[in-house]
Amino acid sequence: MSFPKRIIKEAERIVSDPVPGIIAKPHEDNLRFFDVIIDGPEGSPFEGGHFKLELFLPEEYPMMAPKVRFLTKVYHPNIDKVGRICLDVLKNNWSPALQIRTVLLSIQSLLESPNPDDPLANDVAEAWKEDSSKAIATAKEWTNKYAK
Amino acid sequence: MGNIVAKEKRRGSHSPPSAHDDAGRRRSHTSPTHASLLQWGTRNEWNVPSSANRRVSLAQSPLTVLQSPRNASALNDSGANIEISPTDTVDGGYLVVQGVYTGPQDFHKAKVAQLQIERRLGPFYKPLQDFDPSWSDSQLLAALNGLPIPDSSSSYDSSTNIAAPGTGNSSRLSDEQLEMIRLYREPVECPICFLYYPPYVNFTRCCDQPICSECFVQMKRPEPHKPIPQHDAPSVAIPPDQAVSTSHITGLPEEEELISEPTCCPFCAEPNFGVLYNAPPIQTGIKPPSRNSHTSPLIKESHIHRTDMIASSTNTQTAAPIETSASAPSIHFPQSVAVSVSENDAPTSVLSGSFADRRRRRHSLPPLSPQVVTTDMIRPDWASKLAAARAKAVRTAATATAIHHAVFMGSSAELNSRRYRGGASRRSSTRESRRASRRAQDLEEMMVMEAIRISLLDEEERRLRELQEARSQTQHEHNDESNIDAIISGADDDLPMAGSSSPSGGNGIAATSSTDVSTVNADVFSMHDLDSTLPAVDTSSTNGHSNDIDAIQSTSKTIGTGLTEAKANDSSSRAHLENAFALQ
Repeated sequence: MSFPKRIIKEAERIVSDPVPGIIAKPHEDNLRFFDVIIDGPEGSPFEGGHFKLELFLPEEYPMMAPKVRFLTKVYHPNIDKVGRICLDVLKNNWSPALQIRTVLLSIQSLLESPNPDDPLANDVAEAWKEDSSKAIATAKEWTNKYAK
Repeated sequence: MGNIVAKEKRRGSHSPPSAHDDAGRRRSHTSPTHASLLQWGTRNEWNVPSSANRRVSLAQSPLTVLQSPRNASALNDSGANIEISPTDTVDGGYLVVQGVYTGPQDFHKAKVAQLQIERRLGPFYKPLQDFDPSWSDSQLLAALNGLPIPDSSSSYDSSTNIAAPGTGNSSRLSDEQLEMIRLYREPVECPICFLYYPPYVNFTRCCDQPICSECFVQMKRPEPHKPIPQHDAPSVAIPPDQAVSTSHITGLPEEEELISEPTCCPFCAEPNFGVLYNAPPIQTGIKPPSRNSHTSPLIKESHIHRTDMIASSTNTQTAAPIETSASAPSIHFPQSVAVSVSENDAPTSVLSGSFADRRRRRHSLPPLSPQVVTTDMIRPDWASKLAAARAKAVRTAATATAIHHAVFMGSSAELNSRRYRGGASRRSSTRESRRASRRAQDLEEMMVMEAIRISLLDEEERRLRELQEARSQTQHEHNDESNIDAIISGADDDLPMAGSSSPSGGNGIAATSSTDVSTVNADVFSMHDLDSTLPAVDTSSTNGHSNDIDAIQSTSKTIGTGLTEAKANDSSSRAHLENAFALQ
């Protein structure tokens, strides 16, 4: 199986020069699949958690965004029950100049700053808006329960 | 190592043996345009317009119209019939893609070739998978030929370099090899495909980033979509004149109207993505369509009326000072069009300065600037795609409205009438259930009708596409949007009455359907008249039932596939839908 040079280089670079707090490991048999672990950012309700994600580079990559999904349960207004992520750079604001690295950084910063005004998980967003300290407590609870 | 020379021979015959020869030929050609066109005509390998999946629109972006330089008219005239050979070269690159992207290549290939010949878009250079600045010439050549990189100690001396062609070394390398080494000695890495190319790639008009032609031709507008509330992305807000709107025509509210947004720069997200080609000082291969190949046709021929856009003149071209300050308000032509190499220059003279020295820093250029190539220019079909998407959206909306009326106004009328009749006696309730079952029957028939209608419209659309494709091959020059409208509106009238190969089942349904429609139709009307207290139709609930419509549409795929003969009935069902629509 042959892969575009860009995918090979990105895979090499993200392994040899990883982003702090992010581990991305390409599958040996298919470089389009990555197993990702993002550490919960310090100071966020996700601190201390290690969140598993899967990342897939579609055939049209880099003209189309990578597909990324949380495998670990997260209590977050922009991440739904099945792990789908509401993030502009994964949708209409994708640009081929972005990379796996930048996308994962964006997800990390999404953990740091939830945006309940543009929700994917409506119930979480409502809870977040109604009583943010309670929502943050739930997020911490989930982090301890699922992401350790 | 011995086979490098042999492999090198495969390169095109367009590379000049020497600069003197090249200059001499340039002088002797009174009309290089026609010479090169003639040359093309004899090649048959790559017939571009016949490519099956290419859709050529009849509409042209306004940018395209504004930017066509007069000198390119010869190419424009034959634009649709250009035959591009995989061996044709421009400045050491090719006119056909080199296989970086494996997906469908749906850009306008003839237009791209034309822009490449005009030196407005970089050719498709052969990409170098890896590069190491410490490579010797022989190692570089091996990399270019996809061979394993030899040890630096083998064969050629690693210290020998093209910069000293007068030494004995040059006799061992062919002119073609020297040319290759010259091109790839200081390559740039395309930030999108991560491959290495000669420094003569394209640079973005807005933020001056390199992008190879292979990546540039992949860039396109996003699919037509409803306007996205710009709550978090003011940087990509589209000026009103760029986001084409026709809500006054379609009658849809502004926020429901599909729009097509211009491609944004992948690096800085500036709308109206465009690039400029950083042409090498010495042009090789197919000559640009100009009598004087030493001055860019673009400078001489472009009529610069928009003084606010281009404040430069040709006198900025001679020297090459490096503009470092962003405070200077004037905009300069890029190096790419400021070709002023003396005829006596040997090819080695380009090595005197590094790539960075040769290329002048430039401020951002507006998308309408005559040197800029935008993605709309190489994909002129965006307007027709938008028109098609809108037509489809309007049809879907009409269908939704009609079904909404039939189903929900009907049933609410039923409920109300029941209320009017007072207490529900046993007898009347059986009548009610009979009525309800009749209603269900009617509804089912109506859904079948709708399925047929939708499949007919799809077929119609497909035919229209074929028609457009056939037309675009014959009349490229009469591209304008009014043609599309004419065809779209005309197609309704000139449908053939009978398909040749429809399954027998189609006939029966089609034959009975037209009467059924009038039944359902009358029903809707009578219910409406009967019940004056009918609640006002809530348009928002139409959206809520879009799932139902989806289901119906998917039914249509199964029911309606063979029903080409039912076309005659299309108009009657359409009339019904219009009636239903008028009710609202």
